[in-house]
Amino acid sequence: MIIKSITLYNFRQYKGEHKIEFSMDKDKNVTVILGINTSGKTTLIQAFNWCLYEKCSFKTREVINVEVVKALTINSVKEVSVEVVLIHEEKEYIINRTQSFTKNDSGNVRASRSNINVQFKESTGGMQSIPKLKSGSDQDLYIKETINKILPESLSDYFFFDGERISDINNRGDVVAAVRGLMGLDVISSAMDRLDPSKASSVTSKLSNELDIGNDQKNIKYKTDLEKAKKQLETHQQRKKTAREEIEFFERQKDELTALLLANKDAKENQKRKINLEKDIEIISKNIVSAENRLRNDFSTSAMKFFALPLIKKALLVIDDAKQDAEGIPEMRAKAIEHIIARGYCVCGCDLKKNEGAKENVLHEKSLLPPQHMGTIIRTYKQTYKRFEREALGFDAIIKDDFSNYQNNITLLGEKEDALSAISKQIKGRLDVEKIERDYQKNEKDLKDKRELLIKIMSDIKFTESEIASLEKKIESLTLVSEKNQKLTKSIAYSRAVYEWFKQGYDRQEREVKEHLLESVNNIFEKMYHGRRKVTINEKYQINLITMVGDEATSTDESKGLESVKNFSFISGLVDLARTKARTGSAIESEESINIIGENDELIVSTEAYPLVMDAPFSNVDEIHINNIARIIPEVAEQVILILMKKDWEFAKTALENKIGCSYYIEKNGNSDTNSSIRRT
Amino acid sequence: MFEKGYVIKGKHATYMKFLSATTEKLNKEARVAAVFRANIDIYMVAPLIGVAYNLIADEDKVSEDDLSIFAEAIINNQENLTYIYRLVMLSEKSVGLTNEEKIDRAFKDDEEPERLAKNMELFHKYMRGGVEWLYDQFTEGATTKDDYFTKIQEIVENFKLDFSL
Repeated sequence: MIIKSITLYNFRQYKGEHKIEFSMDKDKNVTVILGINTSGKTTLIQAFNWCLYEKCSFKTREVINVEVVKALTINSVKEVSVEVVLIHEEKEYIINRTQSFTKNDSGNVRASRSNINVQFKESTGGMQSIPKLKSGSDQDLYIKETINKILPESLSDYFFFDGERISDINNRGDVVAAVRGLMGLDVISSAMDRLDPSKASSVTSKLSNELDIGNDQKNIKYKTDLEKAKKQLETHQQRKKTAREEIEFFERQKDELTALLLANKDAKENQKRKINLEKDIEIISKNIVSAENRLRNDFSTSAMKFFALPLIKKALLVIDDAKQDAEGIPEMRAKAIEHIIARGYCVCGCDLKKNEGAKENVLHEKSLLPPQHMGTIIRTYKQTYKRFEREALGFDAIIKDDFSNYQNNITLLGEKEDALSAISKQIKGRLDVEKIERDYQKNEKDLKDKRELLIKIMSDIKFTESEIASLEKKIESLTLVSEKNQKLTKSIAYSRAVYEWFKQGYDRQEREVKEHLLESVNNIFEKMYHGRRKVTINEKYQINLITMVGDEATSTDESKGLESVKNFSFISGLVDLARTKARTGSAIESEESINIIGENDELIVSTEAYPLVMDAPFSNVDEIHINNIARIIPEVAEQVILILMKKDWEFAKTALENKIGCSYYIEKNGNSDTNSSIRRT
Repeated sequence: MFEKGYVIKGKHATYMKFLSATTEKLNKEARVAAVFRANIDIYMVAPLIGVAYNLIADEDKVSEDDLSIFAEAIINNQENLTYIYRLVMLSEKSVGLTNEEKIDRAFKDDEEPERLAKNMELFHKYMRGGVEWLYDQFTEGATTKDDYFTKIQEIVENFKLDFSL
């Protein structure tokens, strides 16, 4: 399928008729449509979806231009239409959907049901219409089938996609259906369901049920038991499926967490070092405070004696020169002696009034005392000052010591702080390893639980299967020999054989599809992303990235862009798969590899095609990856239609310059949000 | 003598606050050198420095700042303050006294209130001179805590050199 043109008439912003002809050139296969915000870029994707599938994701469901509706006069009719012309399997199709709007007497605008017409050009050149059914609930059945053959609706989101929502593209539940549908596997799958003998509602079961085993109540009970057992088996199978899916989920989680843990091994060491450094810094900071206090206290306590030294020198000279340091009674002052004389008796009890000799001695002592004589006091002071001198001796050494202790701690603190800051920088942006480890442990437990559950379900299944087998055997032995029964037995054998045949084929084909898709996606991913990551694909066709050992952890900022690259790879892989199918009629039967990237990195180009219509595809992607994606996409898809803003185009331009077949510019008329036009540039 | 509190006024109060860790204890935000444990420690050291470098300063009337050395602190250090006072009186030579007269001034004026007051004023002049010197020393080229603590060691070293200790 290649899109030749789209014509919009009164569709949303596009008032009047606007036609875009897309490049159909094999080499210059890119059509670029540039536009500013709200000019109507996304509307173009919507126009395709509306025309082909009557899908519309606007908040307002009306697709007609607002200005046209406003200008409607009473009882007048205005139409909105989109016409897509495309080539599929060398046939040209013209698909046209039209809807009319009328304003009734009361001024309300009413929309008619939209009307679709599909015509194709005969090889003779004449036009042929796909017929409409004259009766029945869906008159457009043939038309829908035709369109679905060209591009299944479930896949349309992959080929007409909105880049801003690219992150959802692979997480949706309908991926399985889409891929299986594309590969034709869904048909086989539903056929298998119809024949599956283990299912109570299958043809095989129904045939078995019709076997005549007589009217005995006991025998009839076997039949009902069998039906019950089959239904139970279905429930078990469903549970098994769920359990398997859960196990797969936890296994995937385990892979991711293991990769993260490996990638962050050094981060764990750094975390430890960081904690130790923080502890050291706390201790050193306390040490610094003690060192400060010690220095301050030692200085404050002994500074007096130290700074007194020059004064003491001088004072001692003064004292020695005055020769006033004769020995008197220490701490005794003249007034004390005067008191003793006045009271008349000595401290020894001697009566000083009667004993003149004693009185003279006491008076002599007085003469040696201050204030008359300073000898005693001066001697005391002299001794104290000399003690000060001795005590001041080690002062400078103590201060030196205290200071160097303080300085060492300051230096040590600086070193530790530098180390901490370096480690913090390294750790910054890293993940919380302990949390990852906790998650890992929890995941392990969940995985173990689910595996145990699966074992239990498997044994339930085994038990029910043997129950079914024994019931079937019983019923078989009771089966009356009759013509009807013979016929039924034969039919049952046939339906079982057909079921087995389908089953084998289906399993093999699905495996192949998945392998091919995985290979294709991985090849494209490697071209787009220059990192050591790989893509895995699960049963649901969902893809996941595996971080390679020793790689850096992904930061949150990166992961959104990486997610986009991953999803681009998925879409490209899908386009590739679809193209191969279109080329060979069936990818499954093709022995040829669907790998689009050859041995020497050259891309294998084929002649059939699916288009990629992308709106704002590079919204979350950085410039390097824009360049990579822009380089790959025109090689994978044979027709690329890019609808984007100018700023994103700047990065993609270089990679695409030789690929552009034609380009358009969407302009707002008079800066209106409801009136745009498309200009070819 | 040294039995009651003493109030330091003007810039000398400001300087003393800058030098004392008490200021930091009262206000954690105060950006001071805090090189002395308490105000009383400065009060005891400053007069010695004043005499050693022969620096005297009158009470500052320009600034309205003040700082109290509490009676309790003075009484607790009375013995040492007395030693310092007599040392100052014995060694300072501002008024050309003989050695005998210096001894009389240091030891005999205690009971002569007028003389004692005059001597105390002289003591405080040296104290203020010493505070100014300390403030100059600790602020010259120093802005951080590390600088101030480095200054302690420098001051001790320089004092040793200045007086050939």
